[in-house]
Amino acid sequence: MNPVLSREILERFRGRRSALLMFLWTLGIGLVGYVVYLVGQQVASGFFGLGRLITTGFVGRFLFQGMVLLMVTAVVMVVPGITALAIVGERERQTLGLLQVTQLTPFQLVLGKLTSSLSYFLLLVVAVAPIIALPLLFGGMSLGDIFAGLGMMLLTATMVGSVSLAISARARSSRGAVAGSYAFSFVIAFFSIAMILAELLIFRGSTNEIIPPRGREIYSSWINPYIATVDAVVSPLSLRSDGQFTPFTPAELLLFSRQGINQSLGGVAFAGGGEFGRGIPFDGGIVAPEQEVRLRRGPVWIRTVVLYVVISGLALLRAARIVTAPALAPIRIKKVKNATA
Amino acid sequence: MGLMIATLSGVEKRYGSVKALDGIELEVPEGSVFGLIGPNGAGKTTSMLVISTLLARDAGKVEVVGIDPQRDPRGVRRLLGYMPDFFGFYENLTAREYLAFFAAASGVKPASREAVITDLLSLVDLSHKADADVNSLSRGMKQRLSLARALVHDPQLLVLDEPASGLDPRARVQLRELIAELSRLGKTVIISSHILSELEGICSHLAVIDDGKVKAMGPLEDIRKTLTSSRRVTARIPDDRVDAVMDLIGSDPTVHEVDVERGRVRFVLSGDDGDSARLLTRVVGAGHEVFEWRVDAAGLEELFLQITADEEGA
Repeated sequence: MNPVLSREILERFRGRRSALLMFLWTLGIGLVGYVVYLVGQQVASGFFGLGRLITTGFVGRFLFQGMVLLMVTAVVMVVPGITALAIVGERERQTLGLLQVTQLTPFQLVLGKLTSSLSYFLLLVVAVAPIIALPLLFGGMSLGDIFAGLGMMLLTATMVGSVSLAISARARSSRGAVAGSYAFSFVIAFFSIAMILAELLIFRGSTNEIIPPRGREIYSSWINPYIATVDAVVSPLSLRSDGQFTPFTPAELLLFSRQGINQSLGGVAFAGGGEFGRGIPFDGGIVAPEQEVRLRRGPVWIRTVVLYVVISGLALLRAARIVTAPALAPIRIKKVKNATA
Repeated sequence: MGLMIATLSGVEKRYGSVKALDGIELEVPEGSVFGLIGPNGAGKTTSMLVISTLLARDAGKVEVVGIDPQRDPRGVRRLLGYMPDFFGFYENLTAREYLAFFAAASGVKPASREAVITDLLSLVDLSHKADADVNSLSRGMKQRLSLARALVHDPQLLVLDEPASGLDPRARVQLRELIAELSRLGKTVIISSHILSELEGICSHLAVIDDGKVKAMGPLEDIRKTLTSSRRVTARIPDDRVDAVMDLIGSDPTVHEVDVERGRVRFVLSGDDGDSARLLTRVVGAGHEVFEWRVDAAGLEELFLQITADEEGA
C-alpha cells in the first residue's frame, strides 16, 4: 500500500472533525433524498392515474435520477475541498521536503494523495449508500444505469481531484488552492451550462432555429459532468414514453437537440426507441409518438470520458512535476499576516 | 586527507536577484562532524538543501557519496538523512506511527520496520513516548524524534540544519550528546548553526560561510592555528608584583593589550602554546611567583569574527 495513502487514512479518520463531517453529510444527503422523493411522488400523483405499478416505477426512476445528479453535485462540491489542501497543506506544515527526501517518487506522492482523497469521498458515498439505494426499492432503472451513473461519478471525481491536486501543488497558500480548485470545479459544472446556452444562441443557423433539423454538436457539453452522466445513464438514447419531467429532463432535451430532435414536454410524448445507429432516418423537428429515430451523433459521455482521462493525466503529470526535487525554484508559502499583530 | 563524503565545487545558486551561493567550495570528510557556521543568510541552509537533493544548483559541481544529487537524487536519498530547521509533523499520529510512516516511505522493509523504530526510539530516548501523540511532545522531544526520522533508513550522512534552534539548555545538551553518539556510530554529520557555541565541542571540522562563499574550512584545530595564533592569557600573581610583572610582560614583542583586573594580569599573546610557555618561564625566572597561568585558545565566535573581519578588511 502507498505509505502516503495509509498515513492519510490513519490521520484523517482519527480526528473528531471527520466524524462530525460524516454525520452532517449523511444528514444532508438524507434530507435532500427525502425532498427528491416527495417531489417525485407529487409529480407522479399529478400525472398518473394509471395504477400503482407505473407510479412506483416512475417514482423510482425520478428518485434514482435525483440521486445521480445529487452525487455529481457532491463530487463538484466536496472533492475540491478534500483535495485542494493535499499538497499545499504539506508545504504549509513543512512536511513536503521531508517526503521529498524519502524514496517516494513524485508520482507515488501525488497518487497517494489522490487515492486518499478519493477514498475519503468514496467513504462518504458508502456512508449514504442506503439512501442512494432507495430507488432500487421502487424499480424503474437497470443495473447498467446504476453502473453508468457510478462510473461517471468516479471519473468526474478523479478528474476534479487530479486538477485540484495540480492546483494544490502550485498554490502558495491553502486559501488560494481551495479557491482555485472550486473555481475550476464550478467552471466545468456550472459555467459550462452557460457556455452551452451561449453556444446554442450564438451559433444558431441562418434559419434562426435553436435546434436545426440535423442538430448541431454542442462542444461545451463535452466538459459538463451532468450532461455526461445523464448521457451515460440514458445511453443508448431513446425517447421516453411518459414525457413527464424528471431530474434528467433538461439534460435529455440538450442531448436530443444535438441530434436534431425537438422533444416536447408535457404532452403525450413519444413511444418507441431509436437506438444509436438503428431505426429509420429522422428529418428533424418534433418527433411524433411511435416514430423511430436514427441518431446522428455519437454519445457525449464517450467524448467526456476521453476528455476527463486526458485532463486527469495532464494534471497528475503537472502535479508530479511540481513536487519533483531537486527544484530549480521551490515554491514558497505565502506568509499570512498575523491579524492580532 | 581521507575520503570525502560530500563535495561542492564552484556551486552557485540565485533566488531572483539574490545570490545565495557564490561559487561555494566545500569538502566534507567521511566520519567527520562538519560544522557550517555563518550569519543568517550566509548560505548555510541553501548549501544543505543542495546536498540534500531538495534544491537544484545553478552552476558548479556537487557530489554526495560519489553521486550527483541532481542526476540521481534517489540514490543520494538512500544514503542521506535530512533534518530541516523546522518541525514537520502530522496531526493525530503517535511517535511510533510517525517513524513507521517515514520508514515505509524511505523503503525500510516491513519485516525490519518495528525493530528499527524500537531501536531509534531508544537511541533518542523516546521509548517512553512511543505511543504519545506527536503534538503532545515537548520541543526537545520533537527535535529528537525528528533526528530519529532522519535516521530511519540508517543513512551514512546526516544533514542537520540548525538542530538546536529554539531548544532549552538541557535539550541542547541532550542533542549534542546524541550527535556525538552518532559520530561514534560512524555517521558523518553536517550540522549548521549561527549560534557558534552550539557547535563548539562537537565539530571535528568546520567551514565558515558568509555571503555565499566559504571563508575558511578544515579541521577545527587547523583553522584555529591558521587563523589565529593569538591566545588570551590570564596570570594570577601576588599583588605586590603586579607592576613588575606587567612591565616584564609588556616588554615582550608578542604581547598586546595588557591590563590588570582584581589581581589578575590579562593580555593577548600573539603566538602558540610554546610562546606561552617561554613567557611563563621568563616570568618565573625573574623571581616572580605565579599562582595561575591560564591560556584560552580562541573560541568559535572569536574565530568567526576574526575570519569575517579579515574578509571585510581585505
